[in-house]
Amino acid sequence: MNFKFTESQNELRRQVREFVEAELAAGTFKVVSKALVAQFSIEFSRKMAEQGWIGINWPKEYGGQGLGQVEKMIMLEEMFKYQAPVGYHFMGERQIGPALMKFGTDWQRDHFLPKIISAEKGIMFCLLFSEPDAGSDLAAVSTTAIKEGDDYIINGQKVWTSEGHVADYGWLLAKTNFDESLPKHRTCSEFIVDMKMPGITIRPLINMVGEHTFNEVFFDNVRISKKYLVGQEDAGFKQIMAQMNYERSGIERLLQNYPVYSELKRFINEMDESEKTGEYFFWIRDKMAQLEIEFTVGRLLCYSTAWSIDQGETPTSQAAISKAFCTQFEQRLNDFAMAVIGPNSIIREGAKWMPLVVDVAACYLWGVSYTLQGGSVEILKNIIAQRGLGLPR
Amino acid sequence: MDFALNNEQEMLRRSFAEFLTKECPFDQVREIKKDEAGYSKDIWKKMARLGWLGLIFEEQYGGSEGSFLDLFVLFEEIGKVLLPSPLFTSIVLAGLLIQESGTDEIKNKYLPPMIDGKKILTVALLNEKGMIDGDNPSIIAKKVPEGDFIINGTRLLVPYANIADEILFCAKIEGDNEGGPSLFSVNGRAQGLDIQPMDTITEEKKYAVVFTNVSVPAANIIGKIGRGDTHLHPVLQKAIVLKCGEMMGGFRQVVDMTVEYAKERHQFGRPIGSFQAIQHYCADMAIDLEGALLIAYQAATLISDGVSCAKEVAMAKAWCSDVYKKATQVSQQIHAGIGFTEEYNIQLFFKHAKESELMFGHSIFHRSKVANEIGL
Ligand SMILES: Cc1cc2nc3c(=O)[nH]c(=O)nc-3n(C[C@H](O)[C@H](O)[C@H](O)COP(=O)(O)OP(=O)(O)OC[C@H]3O[C@@H](n4cnc5c(N)ncnc54)[C@H](O)[C@@H]3O)c2cc1C
Repeated sequence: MNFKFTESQNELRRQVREFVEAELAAGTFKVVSKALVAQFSIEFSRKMAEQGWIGINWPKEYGGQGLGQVEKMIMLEEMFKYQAPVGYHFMGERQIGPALMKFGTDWQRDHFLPKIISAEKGIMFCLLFSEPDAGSDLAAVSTTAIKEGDDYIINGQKVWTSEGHVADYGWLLAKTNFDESLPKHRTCSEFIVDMKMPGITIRPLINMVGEHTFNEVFFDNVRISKKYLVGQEDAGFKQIMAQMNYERSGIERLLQNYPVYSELKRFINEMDESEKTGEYFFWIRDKMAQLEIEFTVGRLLCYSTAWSIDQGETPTSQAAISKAFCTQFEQRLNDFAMAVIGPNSIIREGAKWMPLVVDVAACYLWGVSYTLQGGSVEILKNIIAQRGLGLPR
Repeated sequence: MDFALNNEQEMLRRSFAEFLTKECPFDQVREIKKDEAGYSKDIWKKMARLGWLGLIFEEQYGGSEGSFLDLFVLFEEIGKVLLPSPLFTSIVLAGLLIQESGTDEIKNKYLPPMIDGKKILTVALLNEKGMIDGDNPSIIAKKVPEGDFIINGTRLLVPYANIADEILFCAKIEGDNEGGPSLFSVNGRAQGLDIQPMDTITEEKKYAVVFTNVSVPAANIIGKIGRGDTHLHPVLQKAIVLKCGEMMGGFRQVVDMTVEYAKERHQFGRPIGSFQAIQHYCADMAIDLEGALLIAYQAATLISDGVSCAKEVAMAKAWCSDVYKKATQVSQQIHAGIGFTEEYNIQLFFKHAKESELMFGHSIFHRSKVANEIGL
């Protein structure tokens, strides 16, 4: 047992940190802390690709470095500390690439993988899973993909599609089998859809933070070639679930608001000496120490899950534990940060008197969504109880 | 990074577990607690024969120079069965104090019989207020012209003082305003020692030890005069981490027993473990356990590697104390009526968790250390 990183892992961390700090100093991006992978810049992704950091954990045959999930996490940890804009390639690299390697056709691999890994123009992905009546119960999707010759015709509606308005492609889950006797998780399939196809309408949804990141997406007789079907017909749900560990164990779940965390420590340290006494300060110390412990626990959960994946395991319960813990930690962090800062913490970004460099109020509002995306905390607990502990359904 | 024990350590764990589950079922634990001595001489002898009392001691004194992590794993397994024994106080506290601070003479005198299981040592840490006052002890040692010391003072909740051959303690030397406290050892049957049993929630053998003009030879000072606190500090760090190990064993057992019960107990025609409220309680426990194991093992590996880790130790004790206790509370809720009976074993862990939380500083205490470490 050993909690240390290797020399080459430390070296990777140093390189990434130097890179990010140089980019920050050069003004390529600003530290904006709030949503999950909120910022994207194709230029930034390109630069990462040049370093070989996109697909760092992809096998060499697909142009990756063949390193592990742990190395990817080290790289992302340094990126997220400053909220570097990695959004352009993030989904494609994390979700679509590995799925195509596992389930895709030769054509799909040849066509998409090189584009994703080099952050080519026109290769940003969004996820078209959720529907108005299929949220936690994802297998209940009712968007249909009906085969017609060599094509599929798509009809239906998706919702909460993050970056749907800027993405080039969507990763779609749709119903392909209407045999009522089948369990519904064996009736849907995965597709790649060009978001510019005729028949697709994208409507913005403004979230409670006041921002436009997610959307409604409507499909009206959208015709796509069958070469965009990914993996087996009717096996889409199973394929998605097989990928969920990557999504859930990510360190972005811990570091969405890292700048709040580091800024808060600075804020407390810079409090007037006269304020650093008495009952109130004792409370601050205690809570801040608690957060430090929770942060440490969360980070260990992330890395140990990544390590398990690198050992060839499928740590479904462990990944659920990691995400459940980390996202709730971030909610507590933002809540406490606002309490310490006091009434001024509700001042929004751009106002002269904003107390921290980052918009802690926005983080607090965004926090509401952390325990929903990628499986609500309740769904995660169901998984831990049933898959991890073996409790009966 | 490597989050798994190596093969040797896994084998060691299995041998600890096999022995302890065989020798120490809960009935046995209850027997031992009722027994006058408070430990099983038979189990103790067997543990000595297996070499477990010498795991982390130097070979020349009969130890096997194993790693600290091995000992951590042993305590984890002990925590699962709640074996009452002087292992913690004799081997960890007293043994390490002697190994790390004693002269060759002292080590030769105390360690071999201790490792053989023939002599039992204990350390009297807590003052009348229940505080570890190693920095400024309320016990006073007065030097008499012949060179000996006369000791007066009180220690509470001293484990196994009834059977201890030697009791270690820190005392302040009267009139010496410069030096710190000194670490002494006194014969457990010395004149002037009053040893009275104390009834506690865990029913483990704990004693009040009152020193009234107890005479202790100067040769019984362990380590440097006036440096007792610096001798004590590193040993306490290790003891805290091993206590975390013991708590983690208890925590694992609580989760296993609770999940097992939730699968078996039926109400409304189905297992209570199929109710989501119960499932989510259990999932919360599993989340906390996973994190606590990681933070405890992190501290254990750092100590094992000899890396300084004040912050990691404090984080581990704070977190393990809180989440283990929380799990035992929830576990009682899930067990409901049966869990509240004396006869049912889950309550042993409820008490163990509470006691462990309070020993060597609870979470608020350790969070204040963490706050110091992060510069607040
Ligand atoms: C900011 C944001 C971005 C998102 N981005 C995307 C995206 O890009 N693509 C995409 O496809 N989706 C996206 N989603 C959707 C997200 O995955 C869903 O919100 C989530 O799966 C929950 O579904 P729902 O909102 O319909 O809630 P519901 O499923 O209706 O859940 C409502 C409540 O019931 C609870 N509940 C439901 N079932 C159970 C159960 N079996 N046991 C216990 N409790 C249960 C839930 O935990 C929740 O508390 C996003 C969501 C948000 C908030």
